[in-house]
Amino acid sequence: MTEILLASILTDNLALSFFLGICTFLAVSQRISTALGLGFAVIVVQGVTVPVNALIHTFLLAPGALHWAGLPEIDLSFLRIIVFIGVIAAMVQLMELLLDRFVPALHRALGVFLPLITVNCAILGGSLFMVERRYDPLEAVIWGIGSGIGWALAIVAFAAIRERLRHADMPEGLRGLGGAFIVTGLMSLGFSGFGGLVP
Amino acid sequence: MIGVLAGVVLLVTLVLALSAALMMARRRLVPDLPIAVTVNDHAPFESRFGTDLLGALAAHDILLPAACGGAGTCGQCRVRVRGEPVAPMPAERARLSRAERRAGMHLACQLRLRGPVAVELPESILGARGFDCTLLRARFLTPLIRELVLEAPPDVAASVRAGAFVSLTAPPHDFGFDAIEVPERFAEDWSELQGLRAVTTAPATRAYSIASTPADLAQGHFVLLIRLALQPPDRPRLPPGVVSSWLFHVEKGTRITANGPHGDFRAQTGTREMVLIGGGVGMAPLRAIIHERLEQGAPQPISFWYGARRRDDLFYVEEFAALARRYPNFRFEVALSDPRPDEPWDGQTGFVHAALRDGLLRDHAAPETCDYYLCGPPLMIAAVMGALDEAGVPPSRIFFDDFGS
Amino acid sequence: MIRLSHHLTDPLIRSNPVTLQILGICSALAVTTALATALTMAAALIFVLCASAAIISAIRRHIPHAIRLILQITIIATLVIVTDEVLRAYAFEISQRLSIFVGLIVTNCIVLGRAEGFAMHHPVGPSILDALGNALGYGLVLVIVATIRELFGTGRLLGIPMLPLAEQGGWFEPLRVMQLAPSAFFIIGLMIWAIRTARPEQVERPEHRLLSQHEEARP
Repeated sequence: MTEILLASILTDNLALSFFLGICTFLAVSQRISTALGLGFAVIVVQGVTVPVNALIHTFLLAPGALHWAGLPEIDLSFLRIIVFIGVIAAMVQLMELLLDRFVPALHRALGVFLPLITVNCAILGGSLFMVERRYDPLEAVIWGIGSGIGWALAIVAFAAIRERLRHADMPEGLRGLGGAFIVTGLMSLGFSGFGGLVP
Repeated sequence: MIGVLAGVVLLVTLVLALSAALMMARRRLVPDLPIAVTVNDHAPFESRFGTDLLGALAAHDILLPAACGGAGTCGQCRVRVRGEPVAPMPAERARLSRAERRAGMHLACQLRLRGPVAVELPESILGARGFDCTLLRARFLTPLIRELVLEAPPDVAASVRAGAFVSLTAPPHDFGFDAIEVPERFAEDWSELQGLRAVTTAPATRAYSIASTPADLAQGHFVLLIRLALQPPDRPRLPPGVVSSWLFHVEKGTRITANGPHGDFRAQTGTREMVLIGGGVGMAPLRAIIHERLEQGAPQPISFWYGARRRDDLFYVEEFAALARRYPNFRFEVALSDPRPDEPWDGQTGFVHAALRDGLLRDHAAPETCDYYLCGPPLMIAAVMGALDEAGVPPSRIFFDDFGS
Repeated sequence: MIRLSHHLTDPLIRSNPVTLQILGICSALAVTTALATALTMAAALIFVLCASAAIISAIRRHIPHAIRLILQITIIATLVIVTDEVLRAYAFEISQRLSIFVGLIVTNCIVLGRAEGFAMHHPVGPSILDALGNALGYGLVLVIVATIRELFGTGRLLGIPMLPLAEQGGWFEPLRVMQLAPSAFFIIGLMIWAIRTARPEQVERPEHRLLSQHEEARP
């Protein structure tokens, strides 16, 4: 279990090892406060959708999953992309409603990000990796929360660096997006140093 | 075959289940309660939980100005909410100052109704509504400024106080600038604009100040000054202004959808000396205010300082000269900042804030006791504010209309 | 026709979706370790983008406003599933190397962005051209990065040896860093620098400017 947790945060970081969710990453990470908000939202969404998708995949989509319905030879795994996206969209909407009702302050802070998360590659990627690695539901929970934490960690660290970079004297062509890519590359290089941590 | 069937069944069931779950959650979590909204001290009207205040008011025919259509970027829909302060939304933090937020100001488009709310609005807004008007006539005043005279319903015209503005909506359109009829004397200036094209697929709304005199209003006429919004020299690829292009092209007899009157830029009551400074189409509200006060018999000194670049950019000059002859307490000064070498000009040159400083502020006994009204391009307003600040005029005596920018 | 072709050429450099508009980078980077996978990915994206643009443009007038996002995602997801399965059937080895990234085309910002931003408001012909242009722009970046990474990382291109490797008696020592994830970031960062030096109008304006000693602050 701890291996999955460590891997999800350090060696298999969705943002820095697989480059998932970079669009939002680069667009939003200008300030630490927004990065914190987005990171937190991703942790929650990922922690909910990956286990739910794992359950759906295990009991409905995987080859032989429908044996409880008397149809053991059916393989519906090709539907996973469309089903996962549907589940993610529904979960995000549900989360928005719950936040709005019970924690309106948080809803105000995060509200802008939630629609962005629905089409974030990192969320879908987390679920697809879960399928590829055949995690069982418990492992899926750990992978979900862990990968969310890893992504959030990357985006907050990146926002901190970018806040400093705003006042740096950089070559014109590198200012903004170019510099952001190079910094992300350096962070990614740093994180790849964790490579031997998880057997 | 069974696989395909199973797949279809599964997908449909899942979608239905998710939608049903979401709808149930929505019904349980978002109560459909009626919420009472009170405006000023009128009887409260009912809206629903979760509606934004801008929409709730609009549904009740109270149209707040909202140039951005509720996106939270223009800051025009501000209202004061009485009672317990509500935490501000991010968009409100960007458009309202801390003092305003402390005083309970909010942006109506960002405030969601969760409980009974009491708001304070200027009474003039309660008279604002949507209406249709007809273009009676139009003429070019300067190469880039066109004067439109619109016929509006009499009750709307009656509710206008000098200094107010209306919003006009341009429908989707597509035409070339060569279709615009330009008077001979401006043909040279327009030669480089002939190739432009005005294309838009969605209606757009912009605000324009009313320049009507009381006599115009009595006839139900709105006089508007439209400046063609062109690309600034450092961003040459921007298209020309959507609504202003259309208003340059529109012909006599056309019906135009409008909305208003809005705004609280108006003359202060009392007998303090009035100093009005304008540039460009900032002339519009100032002209309306000047005519209104003079015709009301205002006794105090009133001076109007107008700045332009060249002779060709001046208009209404004869009208104001006539007012100065008729009313001994009215003074009219013009400053040109960049007169053409070949045109005759024996008036003042330089910027209007310099003319104001040398012609009034420097020798005035107590400039801080006058009321100052500013309307014009942002750079002019900034320069005049600087000159007024140097002369010791407190901000509470300065009123300006920056067109919501 | 000449007027239409700018839909095709604009997205290549002037408004390249990856380098100017920060779009669609997610899958752009992980598949660039080898040119073969990059070309396959680009081909997949071209197909999905053009087909989805064509379909969405064809039915654009009949889509109710409230559900248009869901409908667009459904169409795109279906096309992606088809592409994924076709790849698994006819190019199994490459499909394994591409892992989950073909599936991630569903969330690729370029696809949804072009559908919502262009195909919903324009007829089928220009929509397809625009989609093709954007897909080619994305493909261009992908191919450039992959070529650099594969060539300097392994001395091979498309599996064919190009540079004589040191361990086989030649002079070329492969740059191992090219096989690591970060190299893709660096290469794209340097590409953006090069593009913005050649075309300064794409440079982002600085938020502040520090005054030098001899300048006065103007009010």
